[in-house]
Amino acid sequence: MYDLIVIGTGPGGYHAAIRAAQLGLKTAAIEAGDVGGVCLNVGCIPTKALLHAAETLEQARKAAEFGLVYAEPERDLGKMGRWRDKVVKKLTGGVANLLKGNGVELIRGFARFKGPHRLEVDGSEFEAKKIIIATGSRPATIPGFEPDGENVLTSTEMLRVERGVPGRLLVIGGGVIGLEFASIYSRLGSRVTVVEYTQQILPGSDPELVKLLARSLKKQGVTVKTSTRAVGYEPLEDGLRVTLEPAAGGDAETLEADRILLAVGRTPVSEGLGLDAAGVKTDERGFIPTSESMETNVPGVYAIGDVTRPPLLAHKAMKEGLVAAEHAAGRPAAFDQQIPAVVYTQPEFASVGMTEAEAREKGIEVAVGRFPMSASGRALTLQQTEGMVKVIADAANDLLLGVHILGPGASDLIAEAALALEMAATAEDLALTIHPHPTLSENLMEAAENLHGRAIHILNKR
Amino acid sequence: MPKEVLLPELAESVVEGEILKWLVEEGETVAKDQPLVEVMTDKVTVELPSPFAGVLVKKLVKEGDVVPVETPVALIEEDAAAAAPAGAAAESDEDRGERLSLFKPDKTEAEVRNPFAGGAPGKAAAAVAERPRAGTNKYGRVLAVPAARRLARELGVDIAQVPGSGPNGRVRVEDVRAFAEQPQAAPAAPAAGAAVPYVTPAGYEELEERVPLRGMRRIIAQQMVASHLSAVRTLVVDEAEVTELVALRSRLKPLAEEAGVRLSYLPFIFKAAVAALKKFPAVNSSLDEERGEIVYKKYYHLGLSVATDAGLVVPVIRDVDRKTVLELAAEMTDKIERARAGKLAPDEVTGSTFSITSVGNLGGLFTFPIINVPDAAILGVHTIQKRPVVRDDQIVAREMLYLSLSFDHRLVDGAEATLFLREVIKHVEDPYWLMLHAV
Repeated sequence: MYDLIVIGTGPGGYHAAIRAAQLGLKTAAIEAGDVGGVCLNVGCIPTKALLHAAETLEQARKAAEFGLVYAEPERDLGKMGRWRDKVVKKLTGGVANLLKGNGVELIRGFARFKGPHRLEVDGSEFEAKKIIIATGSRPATIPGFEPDGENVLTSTEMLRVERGVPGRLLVIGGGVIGLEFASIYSRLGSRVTVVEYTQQILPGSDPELVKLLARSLKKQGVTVKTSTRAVGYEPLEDGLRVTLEPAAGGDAETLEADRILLAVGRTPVSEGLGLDAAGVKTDERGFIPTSESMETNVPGVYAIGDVTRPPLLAHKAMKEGLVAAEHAAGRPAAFDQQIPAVVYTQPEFASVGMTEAEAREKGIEVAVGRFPMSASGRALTLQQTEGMVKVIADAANDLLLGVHILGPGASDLIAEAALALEMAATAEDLALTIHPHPTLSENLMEAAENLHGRAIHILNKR
Repeated sequence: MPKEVLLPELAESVVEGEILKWLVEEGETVAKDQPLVEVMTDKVTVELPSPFAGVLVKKLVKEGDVVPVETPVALIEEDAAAAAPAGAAAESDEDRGERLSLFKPDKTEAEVRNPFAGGAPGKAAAAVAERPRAGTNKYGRVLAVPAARRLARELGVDIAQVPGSGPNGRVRVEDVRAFAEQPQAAPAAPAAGAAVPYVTPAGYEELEERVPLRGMRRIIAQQMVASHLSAVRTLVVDEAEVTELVALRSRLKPLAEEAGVRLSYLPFIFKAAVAALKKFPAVNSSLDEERGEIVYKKYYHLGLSVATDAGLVVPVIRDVDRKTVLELAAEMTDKIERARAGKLAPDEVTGSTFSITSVGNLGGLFTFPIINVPDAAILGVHTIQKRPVVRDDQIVAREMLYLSLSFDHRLVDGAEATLFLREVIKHVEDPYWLMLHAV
């Protein structure tokens, strides 16, 4: 009899298991695949490894501008793949050790509920006072593009660069995953087209910055087709012919590609777990609703991470894992934080809090501050002058509502903005804080200054 | 299983309602949106429509009960549920009911309290942790530092209730600690002061009639005590000569009638009051005692006391500074009529920044009106009548008007109040001034 069993060892799962063990619970974690889940094995980490490789290639080319001329780099895709695996292995091994070191028992196999406190794994039964479901998500599919491992690939398969770099890559879906792979493969030499069904890539994100990102992608040779639906494809002698249609209906067009990446989102893994046996409910999309303490409709059964609700982000899952474990250990814990989001395109895109439109919808009169990367000394020295920092505040009381960053270092800079929002800081607080020079972080301060018409390095329109 | 009907939030900042009258009996069928029960709040009666179609299984509150918003008031067996197979066991305690709002339809979706209406084994829902109250501010989130949120949870404090001492009312760790440590005073019940005992003199029992303190009278009693206890009420009285106003009004009256509007003196006095309020902002302020701040309001919502058969009602005329005399006259007539018919909506009797009470039609020289708290002052307007006055050492008859200003001395000083009243009088005496400022 365990105090707690966690199903899944992705970022949410291992956080939950370790925190539970830290709090003195007798804890086990069940893993059907590899320890670390999607994030460590086929998600966040390997994509970032490949992005780094692709970016280094790009930087080697751009170095000519300041007088370092490299020969055209030789690509050894096999070695690139092995390096990616090495990074993954190091981290997953680390997580396995952390689980072990904290006294979490690792059970291998696929878990199925037999009751609210009972699980079956490959014929053996386990009992626990509390159970956390952390089964994550899998790539979603659309009709006409069933992944076949050959022509149509999922993100997982697309990670295997050693299969070769397609000459022409079609990415269906202009969300985070689609754009990150578009960035990797366009640098590695593919001609990439991204097809997005809605009106903009990264739907829901600040349209002003998304427009800048789209422009930047175009410069890099990535073609973006928004308001477009991929209807189907047929194999040709040499490649594939894909049929596209305006989302609103109208004349179809065709486009040739050598490979298709299906990146139309992810669906929760809630089927096949025997949730009925425990009485755990799912919604119509398969997500498991929870309270703010991550408890499902069945007391003592928790759900965290991708299986609960969007956004499907590892750091959201991690926090939820901690909340669930603490609550299961009898502590008052609840998820009530703002969730920053990052897209590892080049330039990077990151945001936290409300967009201008969301604030206006709430009836808030907003004040906006902007600061372009092109005015940043540090960005210039990095040869990365595309993008902008945008700060949104309540015009009535200067309260920070959201920060949106497109540009180098956005993924790290957004953490400062998240802290500012959690502390209920004002734009003035951000502006008054000394930021070291020359850094990219100054741009956040300058955007906040611009909100008050006082940025130093640009002319402020009032 | 039967569904609960919760008492909705009847208007901004209304926390409770009095059950006046059930319109449907137990066992009877109700249609969706059919009036279910009459609820009174802030002197306004509202018919609560049924959120479901079905059979009223049980009334959970009695007539005369005063219940906080979100209290379950009735159980309704839905039509569909009644027809469904008996497989779904009756677990009514798990169904936390549908939360509805009459005035804020957008709030209903975000705050359904329990997404799992029934169906779980055992006492499932009771154990599902309550979602903390979404913040009551426009951001949908209480402004608080992360450590304060955690401490509040650990101390069992609803962070939405904690007054924040940081910028923009941000809740800090110290605020949560202070809140948790303070003795939990009963929050509502302003009328809860030590009750004065009443003893019927022996032998006179037959000559007394006892009526339950209910509805409007109960609310009036509460509000008067609240005003009496919270404000430091002070009086200043002055008089105005309104010969010009009388002439102007009799000249404009037929013109207004052509537009179908009955023109009284009040719209002119409202305009004069707003002009004075702009000059003396303290009179249009309120005290936010929780935060220790004075709130100066740059909008002018004026309450108008109306005597009705049921008691005193104060409809609010909003944005008086942005309305013409004719518009004010029309709106007053409409609101007075609806006040007398008991047809005002809850948000039409709340939110005043200053009030005017027209007393004196029945007699009396002048009054010391009770302030409609949290306003800072109220202006009493009395009968216009010819009185002898001295002009150029001669006693002459002039149209005279007494004006009494009852003000909260915490917010307004005596000299300020006197000057404010003089400013009102200046504009009442020379109503042509209005021409310069007609909206």
